Amino acid sequence: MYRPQFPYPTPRGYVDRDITQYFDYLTVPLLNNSALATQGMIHRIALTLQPDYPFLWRGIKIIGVNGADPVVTVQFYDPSKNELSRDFVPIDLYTHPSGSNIWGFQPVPLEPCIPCPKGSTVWMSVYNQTGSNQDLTKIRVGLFGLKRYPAREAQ
Amino acid sequence: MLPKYQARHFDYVMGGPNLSSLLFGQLASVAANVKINRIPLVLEPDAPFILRSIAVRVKYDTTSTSHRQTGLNQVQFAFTGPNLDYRQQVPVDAYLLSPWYGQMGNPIPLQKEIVYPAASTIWVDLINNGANTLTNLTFYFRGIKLFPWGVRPPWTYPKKMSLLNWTVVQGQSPSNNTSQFHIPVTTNAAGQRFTLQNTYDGDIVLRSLQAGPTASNTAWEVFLRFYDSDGYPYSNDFVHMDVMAGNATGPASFQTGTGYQTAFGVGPSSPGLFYPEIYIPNRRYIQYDVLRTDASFGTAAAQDIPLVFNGSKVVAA
Repeated sequence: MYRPQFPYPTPRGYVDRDITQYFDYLTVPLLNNSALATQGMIHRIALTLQPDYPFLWRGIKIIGVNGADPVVTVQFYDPSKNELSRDFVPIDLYTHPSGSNIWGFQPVPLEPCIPCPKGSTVWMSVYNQTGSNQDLTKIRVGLFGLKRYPAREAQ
Repeated sequence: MLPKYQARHFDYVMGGPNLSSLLFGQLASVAANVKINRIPLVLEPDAPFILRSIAVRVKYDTTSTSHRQTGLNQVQFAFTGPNLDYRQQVPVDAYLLSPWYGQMGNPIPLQKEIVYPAASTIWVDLINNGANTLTNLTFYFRGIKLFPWGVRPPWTYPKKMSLLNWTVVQGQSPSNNTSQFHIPVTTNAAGQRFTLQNTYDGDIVLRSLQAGPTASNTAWEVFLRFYDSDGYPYSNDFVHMDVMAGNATGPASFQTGTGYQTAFGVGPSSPGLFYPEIYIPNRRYIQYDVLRTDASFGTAAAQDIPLVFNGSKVVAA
């Protein structure tokens, strides 16, 4: 049956602002791995969010290890460590937002929005399902959404 | 409050390698510079159909190791509403409507939906305006069927609940090589019925689909057909996975003048949608068949065909 998309009004007394939380091998030590072996897995890489205000997570983009042709699989957990998928999912079918040559399109939406407390951690596991080593230093993760400020603190 | 009728996702397929090849033999091989008028697609008698989007495709070019749909840019077509009322003044170029012909999970939307009574007919006129013979030219008509309440299971959300993003992967083995999902080059779907069971301890809802090999792609003609747990189908025939789902590395390349262009702007950010969404209560399931007809492709090999279903867990309060 028809169901409209879920509305997310800003509560009275707050201001929502766009924010992109970005992670790569420079900011996440476990991604500084240039040769994740075949069948190799890194479990629950911590993607720690900024500590100032709650983050409303509404979209994601990942560019993969081979740049134009990402081949690793990932599994995400929300800050409460709820799995967001039943298994590891190929990036191309899950979080890579566009054709293999261009990834600058709109993010992959998350519905419903995932509210993340300030300073909380989103977790990402990575699994190399291919027959060759994979360079995780080429992974770029963008978490898209809003920060929710009390109106009196918004500038 | 419930709407007057229960809507249900449905795809009507005209052409292709399976059942439709028996009904639409003239689409199996359309010679160059041929015009065919008034091909009838008789809709099923159980429910009215609301047409909301369309797509067109041909079999991938077997003379290339790339995924090329040569000649599709030379197809012109027109189709009718339920009263033989044409919606195009003359057959129009398919590429005029969409660069990817409504494939990659992004069917061409109609500005106004068209209501077809049960057992009515969509008539199609087509012209192959090019120099290539088109193999398995296929038209897809996507929309909804409408049922009186009580005909189909009316599962829906509990009154008090919350949702959590949820993704289910099917057809992928840990080693990418060995599993029941390692689909042979020629796969007859008869009696196959893969099952997507809701093993979560609550309800889930499916909203979109991405599909296809991601690392090395040696699959061309792979088709999907979905069913409810009681076997009631979501289409009248198999739908190609590039039409049903698409993916970020979707290999399909389309002729543009003398060259070819791989689809972009598609993938998980604009996936193939189930509309309306499919609600699966705890321990229930849906089923699907996979049909693969790649024997004519020299480099085809048995391969995992992952299917990624996106939606939500429904957590009752």
